[in-house]
Amino acid sequence: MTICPTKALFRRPDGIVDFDADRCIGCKSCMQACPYDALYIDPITRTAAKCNYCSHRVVRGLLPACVVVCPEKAIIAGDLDDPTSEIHQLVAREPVMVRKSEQGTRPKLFYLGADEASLTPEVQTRTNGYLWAEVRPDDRPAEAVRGAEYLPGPADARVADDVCIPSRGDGRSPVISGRSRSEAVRWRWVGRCSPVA
Amino acid sequence: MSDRLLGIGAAAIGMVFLAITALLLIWDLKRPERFWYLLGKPNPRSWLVWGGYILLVVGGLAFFWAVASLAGWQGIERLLAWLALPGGIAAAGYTAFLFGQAEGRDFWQSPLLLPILLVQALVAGTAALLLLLVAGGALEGRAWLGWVLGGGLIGLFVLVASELLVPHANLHVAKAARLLTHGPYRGERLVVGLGVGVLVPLIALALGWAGGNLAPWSVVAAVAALIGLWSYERLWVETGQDIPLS
Repeated sequence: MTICPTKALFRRPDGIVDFDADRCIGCKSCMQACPYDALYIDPITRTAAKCNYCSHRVVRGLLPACVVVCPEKAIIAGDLDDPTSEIHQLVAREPVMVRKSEQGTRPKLFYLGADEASLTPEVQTRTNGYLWAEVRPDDRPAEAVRGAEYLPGPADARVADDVCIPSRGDGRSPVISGRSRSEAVRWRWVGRCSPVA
Repeated sequence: MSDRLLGIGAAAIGMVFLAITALLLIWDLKRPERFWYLLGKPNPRSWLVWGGYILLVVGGLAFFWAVASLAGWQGIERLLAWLALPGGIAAAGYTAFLFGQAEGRDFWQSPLLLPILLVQALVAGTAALLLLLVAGGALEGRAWLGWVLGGGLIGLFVLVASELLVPHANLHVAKAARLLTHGPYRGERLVVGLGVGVLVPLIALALGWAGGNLAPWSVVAAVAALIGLWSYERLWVETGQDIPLS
């Protein structure tokens, strides 16, 4: 958070790292500083954005939306400092893993039963050629996505994930982007969305 | 004449490129109309903010240096020239601390980044002065700038080779370095970065000294060195971002 030149990215007293879009100048430095690739550019507001642990729900005593909506209870949330909480007992009991603790981020997101290769992207070896997938036209890593490229790749989700793109006025429905452009085509927003001023 | 040319020309070159830098930084913002937040709502712990201040101060120094040189105020000009030395070091070196704060990119966390940036600034500045002096027909008596350029390029080669070829801090850095040494950037790094950027200038300078006609060869050396710097810097920045974080 030290890199943010306008304090748009900040840590709340309760420990949640939150974001003030009204202060953001869109310098993208936070995207280079976050070792978890957690920030992306909201194409509507043209500012950075990130998950803030549904802080608007948490302050009202509600669980984050992803926890509520997950049908498999794969996400456990709660107060780590409360010894009676499920999350506290789970972390104390199970062999959990964290990502990039060596960066000094004191991560509070714990993975249970995760494979090392799924937590450390550098460990994975990806070639540019897949039997049934599109491949990059150049020799750069398949994960490398920059600028206005829309080739399938994990970084696509970072650019515009979980946001709606207004209709272009041609009557077509807005599209919610998925992990890649090809995947996004399968998901269309039926209703209209209002651009944020 | 050459002192006056250097005084006005160096300051003018500094101002032009500082202005270009500032404009490019603002143009790259997603919300460029908010650039003034850097001054109005600053985070004093961010090197992006300090970089903005440094560019402003160094731009002011260059402006007053040019004015003093034009007006013939030699005492003030000399003072400003000395102040421009730490100013130039700060303007060239703050990026190392800014990239140091970009902790997601391990490839940019190199402890050699600060010395590399300073040597690159030395090379770029010397190349610009050589071009200026040749254009003004005032290279006579300033041939030592060729030695500075050659020495800077050799030093830069050693530093960059050390950065790329020594054992790396972790797998992230190793994979990024491999993109430069064995991957898709290898060709440009070798041909433009090393060939055009280092070998051509050194050969040109050697031919200039051997033939006793340094002026035309120093132009070749300076232009080639600047092209090599531009190429390697672009590759280095892109490589750091090619390793996925998630």
